[in-house]
Amino acid sequence: MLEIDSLRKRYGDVVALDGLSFSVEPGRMYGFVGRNGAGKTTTMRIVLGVLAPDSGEVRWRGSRVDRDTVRRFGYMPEERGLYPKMRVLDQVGYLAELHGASRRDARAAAARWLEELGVSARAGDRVEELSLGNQQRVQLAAALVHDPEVLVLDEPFSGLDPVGVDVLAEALKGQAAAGKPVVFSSHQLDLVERMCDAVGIVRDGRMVAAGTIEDLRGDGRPRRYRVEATGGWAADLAGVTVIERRGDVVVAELAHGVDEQLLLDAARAAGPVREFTPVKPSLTDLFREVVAE
Amino acid sequence: MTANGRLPAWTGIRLVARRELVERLRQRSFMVSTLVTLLILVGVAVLPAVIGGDGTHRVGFGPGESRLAEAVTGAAGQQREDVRARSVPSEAAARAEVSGGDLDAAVVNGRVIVRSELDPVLGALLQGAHARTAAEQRVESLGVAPDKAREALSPPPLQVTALDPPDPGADARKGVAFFAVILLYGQIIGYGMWVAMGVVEEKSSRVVELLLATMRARVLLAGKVLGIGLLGLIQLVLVIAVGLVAVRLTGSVDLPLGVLGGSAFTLVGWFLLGYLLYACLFATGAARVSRQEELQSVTGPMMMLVMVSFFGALWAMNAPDNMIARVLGIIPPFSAMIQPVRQVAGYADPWEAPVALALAAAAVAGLMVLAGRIYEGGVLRMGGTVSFKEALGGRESRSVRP
Repeated sequence: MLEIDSLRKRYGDVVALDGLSFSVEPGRMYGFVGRNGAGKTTTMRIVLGVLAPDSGEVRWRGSRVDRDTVRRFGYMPEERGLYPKMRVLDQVGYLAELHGASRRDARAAAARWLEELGVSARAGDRVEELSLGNQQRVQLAAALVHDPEVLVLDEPFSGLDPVGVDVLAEALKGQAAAGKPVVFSSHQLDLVERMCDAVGIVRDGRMVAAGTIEDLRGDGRPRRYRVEATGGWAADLAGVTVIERRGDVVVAELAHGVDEQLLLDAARAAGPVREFTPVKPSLTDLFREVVAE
Repeated sequence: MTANGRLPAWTGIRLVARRELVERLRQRSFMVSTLVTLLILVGVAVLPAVIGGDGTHRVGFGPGESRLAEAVTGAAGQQREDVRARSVPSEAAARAEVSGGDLDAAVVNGRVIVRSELDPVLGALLQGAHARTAAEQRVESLGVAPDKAREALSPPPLQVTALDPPDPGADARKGVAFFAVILLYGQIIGYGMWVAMGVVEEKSSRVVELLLATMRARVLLAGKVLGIGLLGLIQLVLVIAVGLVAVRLTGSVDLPLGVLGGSAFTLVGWFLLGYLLYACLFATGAARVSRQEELQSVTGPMMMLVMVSFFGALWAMNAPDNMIARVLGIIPPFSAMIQPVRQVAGYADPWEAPVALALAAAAVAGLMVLAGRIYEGGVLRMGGTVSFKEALGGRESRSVRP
């Protein structure tokens, strides 16, 4: 398990991280979301040992992460992190060597990953000559080339077209399926909702909501239902508040302990019911709520 | 492939240095700059031999001046002057050859014809020889046998006793020192700037984050400085080797091989020290900015130092005994260019080199530590220029050292 425990970090007067904690199980995909400046990049840099926290620690398999363990992590920094003028294969091979591979193994692994991610045809080109999507694939190859035990990716999907997003998403799912914890940050919340087993929402350097999306939805929140029936019936039902009414469609919120079947009965009594659906807030809704508080 | 275990600092330095060396060797700009330097050098070494303007006097002698020609070449031989005499058929031909530049002077019908003015050394030779041949002819006309007349009119020349004789190779050594300064200046500025640009390239492309996940910042800095320095060394040695060969082939620098070799050795040694000094300075400046456009403002002070050293070294070439030159010659970073000049030109007292070397080595050691710290503190801060204070105060290295 990858554990991030009570990280604190200040830059001068600015508090970047204020006791941030979360943990990721092996084989799980963890979505790390928050507004710009919330502390996501700082956290990831600390996990990778690029930055030192003022206090707190990162543990992998129960022991504190040090310079040696961190070399078995794979990392994709925010924006791009490659030499623009270096050739693709040389570059990925070089990074593999920095992770401790021999020269020959490094080049073989680099070639294999470029093949796997569909950019082997560009192996001899300079990185700056590649399209953004292909650069991102090379970037991913650089993060995966040393077969890391843990993957940490900062905004891996930004700037990708839908096809690029799919390729990257498949690759990450494959890594998680192989039993690795995968952490990534993103502003594309629908993508996070679709891909991730668990989500953490950061605000001002603190984790304000964490867990599976179901957990976040369930979390003591009143249930809501969308009902399409002939109108005028719900307003006087005890424990039910109408949130929204548009024509025949009503969104009603049930107080704690109120049986939703009572709501359905009331609707049926008023006339034929065409829709009766529990309304689940999307991650975007949850995010807005938590971040706006 | 599994990657595990620690990456020893030396392995990191070696990998980074190799990348720097290989990537830059493949750049066309390196090849072009090496070729241009070599061409200039060969040109400078070969040109004097081709033009022949190095003290050779070409003199034409008209009909009836053969006796004077003989006397002039004889006197020139005694005075170690190179006079090449040949005959010209007429005054008209002499004028044409002098004005065309084929002859430096011509003696026809008792007159010396030159283009604008007579070289004083050649003038003294001609006048002396003329006075003697004229006197010999007059004495002969009085009935004295020619060899008797010559003997009487050729007293042994005055011998000179010098109390403090000049170094016969002084001018040549100065010439070599001049090239040493130019080479040093070019190498230090060029390769120092490469270090600076390399640091900013890693920072602006964010690749530095990937690198720092595998190694300490100072390992990265050491590897970068080493790799680029090695490239500079290779280029310098190549240029010096070609220069030595050119100089030996053309004979344009009249110094024993031992002296030239010693100069080359001095040059290489001071390049290494000077490069390390300035590379550390350039790297600390560059680590404070995030974009190539901002590089100029932070490397400005270092550029000034290099310039001051360069012009100081040019001035020191003509100030062998000047106190300021002597002092600047041992104080880093100025010593990196001024001391080699004093060495190569032969001005330095024996104690100067070891003192200058020791001070420069100490400065390099101190600067490396300081540069490592500023680099660690600045290299991950994106955005505006990081102040030295911030960089030193906020080192971003891992707090727990494995």
